[in-house]
Amino acid sequence: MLRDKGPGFARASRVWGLSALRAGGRVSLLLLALAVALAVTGCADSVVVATPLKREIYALGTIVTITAYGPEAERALDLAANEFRSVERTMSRFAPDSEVAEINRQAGSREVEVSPATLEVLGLALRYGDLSGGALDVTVTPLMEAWGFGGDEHEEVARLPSEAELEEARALVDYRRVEVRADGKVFLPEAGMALDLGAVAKGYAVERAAATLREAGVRGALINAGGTVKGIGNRPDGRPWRVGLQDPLRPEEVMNIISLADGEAVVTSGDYQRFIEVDGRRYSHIIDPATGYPAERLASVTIVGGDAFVADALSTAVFVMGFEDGARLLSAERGTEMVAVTKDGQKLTTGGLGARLETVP
Amino acid sequence: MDSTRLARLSMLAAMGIALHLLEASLPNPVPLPGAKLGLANIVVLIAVVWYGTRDALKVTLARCLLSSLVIGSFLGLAFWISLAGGLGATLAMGLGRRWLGSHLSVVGLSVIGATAHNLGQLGLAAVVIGSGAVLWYYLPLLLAVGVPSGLATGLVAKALLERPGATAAESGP
Amino acid sequence: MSKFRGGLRAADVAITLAVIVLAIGAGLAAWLWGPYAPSAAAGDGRVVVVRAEGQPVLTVELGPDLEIERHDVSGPLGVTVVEIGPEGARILESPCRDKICIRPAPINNPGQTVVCLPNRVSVEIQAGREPPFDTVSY
Repeated sequence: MLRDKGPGFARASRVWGLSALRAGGRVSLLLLALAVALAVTGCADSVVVATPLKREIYALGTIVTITAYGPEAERALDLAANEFRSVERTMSRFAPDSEVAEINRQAGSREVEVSPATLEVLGLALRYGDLSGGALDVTVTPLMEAWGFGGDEHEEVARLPSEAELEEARALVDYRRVEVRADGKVFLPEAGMALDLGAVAKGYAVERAAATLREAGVRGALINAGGTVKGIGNRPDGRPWRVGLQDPLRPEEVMNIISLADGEAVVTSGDYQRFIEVDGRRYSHIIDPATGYPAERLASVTIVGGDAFVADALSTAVFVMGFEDGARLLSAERGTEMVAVTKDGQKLTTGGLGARLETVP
Repeated sequence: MDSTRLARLSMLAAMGIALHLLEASLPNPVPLPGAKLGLANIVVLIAVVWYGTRDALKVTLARCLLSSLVIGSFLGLAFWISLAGGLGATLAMGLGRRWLGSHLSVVGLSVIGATAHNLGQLGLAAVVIGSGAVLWYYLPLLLAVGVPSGLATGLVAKALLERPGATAAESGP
Repeated sequence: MSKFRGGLRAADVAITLAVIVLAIGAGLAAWLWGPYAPSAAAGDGRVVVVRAEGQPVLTVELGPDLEIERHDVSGPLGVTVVEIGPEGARILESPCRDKICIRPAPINNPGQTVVCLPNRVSVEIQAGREPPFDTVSY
């Protein structure tokens, strides 16, 4: 008797039925039944929500994290990851079979045929070499090696190169000597010259990956390749993707947050990324081709713009050039701004970026 | 207090204890903290209709105290919880009768009582647990469960109150 | 006062419907903002808070790499065993009479709670503090 709530309930439902009919039909009865059913059966435990999928791979010498959501996400992530691997296979000077490695091996002897992708990347890097007055120089490799920034981070030897070594290296550094022939072949005129596309390869790969994600139908994604970030759409909850900017002077802290517009990219170059420390002094891996020494005008620079590829090139260039010259370079770029942090912690911004920097709660 | 009233109240209290014990000895059909059938509310309703809020409160107090002594949970958690629910329900029903008695029949009062009963128990449970989040989670469920149990006990009370000769001069609007 | 069959009055119907509406309303509110809300459910950093006698005695962060572990929580009736793992948290054993707290499905959404009232043990999922950014450009 108690289990079905008693005879009173049966009577009540009969009464309900009648009054409901009087009140206006079976609809109200149905609503009542629905209400009771809802109450008694309880609510669903989980709601199907767009949960983002995360993929993490090691490529281009760094950790690449791609986050995407939507029904196509799984497949799209595979394709995007492949883009990174493909760029590494073709353009990393450390991959033995890459086109860049071949170009470097053939320096001073033979021209090398390269793929359109490599041509595109090289072309943009050379162009920004011009625009930056040589601050970005893809042939800076010998200087990097002189400072010990070879391939594997663990093998870096922390010692200062001698003036003679730097002289020797500087003689091999000049992006203007790179020959890109009409038939698309690339030639380095002197043995010992070497290309390093590291300053732009990540940005290029990120743009390729983003294009792949969009083509696959992904509406929202976030790519981070070693600090080179690009967002597609928004987070699953509709809010924009939020990117923290690392404080160059305080290693574990984020100094500001910036909310991304659809397709916006954020790229940072800093003196804390790769460096050697000798006698308590830090030497960054980004060498100023003009002096042969690591650039030391800024602690970090972050470029915010619509193209990760361009932003990547700009971040290296501006890091070497310093804020003022860098700002001039940026003024020719549409929709691209920066925030630079000096060695003593001063924050400098261009355009409206200052207003967009959010404080960390 | 005249002897008829005393006798009647005592009997109601006794019936309340019996119903409480009956309910306590049965497996709980609804697995929610604080959700009960509230059979004892039948008795409280009758007390409210016959004698008003104050006496109904006495009945409830007596019922909770004595049944907890029998069960062995006197001053234990179960005691406080049932007291919270019981007093809340009694007050709600008594006040409901006083203010809305001309509009509500016993059934409506019972729904109010069941709701107040469950709310009171849930409130105390939240205090015991030490977290307000419990309220969020269980509130809709408890409110909903209160409706059928309120209707049920109300209809039973109504049937009892309307038995010819049972209440004569004492019942009424 | 119009009377329905069975002696029910309009006000009775009104009160009953009012409570039902309240219940649905509370359910909706919980759906939108409270424990049943989808955004709360999808959060990272969700935390299991186990309380005995109202005092937190154990806090565990939920995550897919968590290993299933049993935790003994003492209460006035004895030991309640709480199991926490990648699927969430649930009560495994408890010295209460009705055992309504022991259910097979673990809870893992913020606001969900499993309670053993007689033994004064509660297991609650709290929304983690969501990090203010999704990634860092370093």
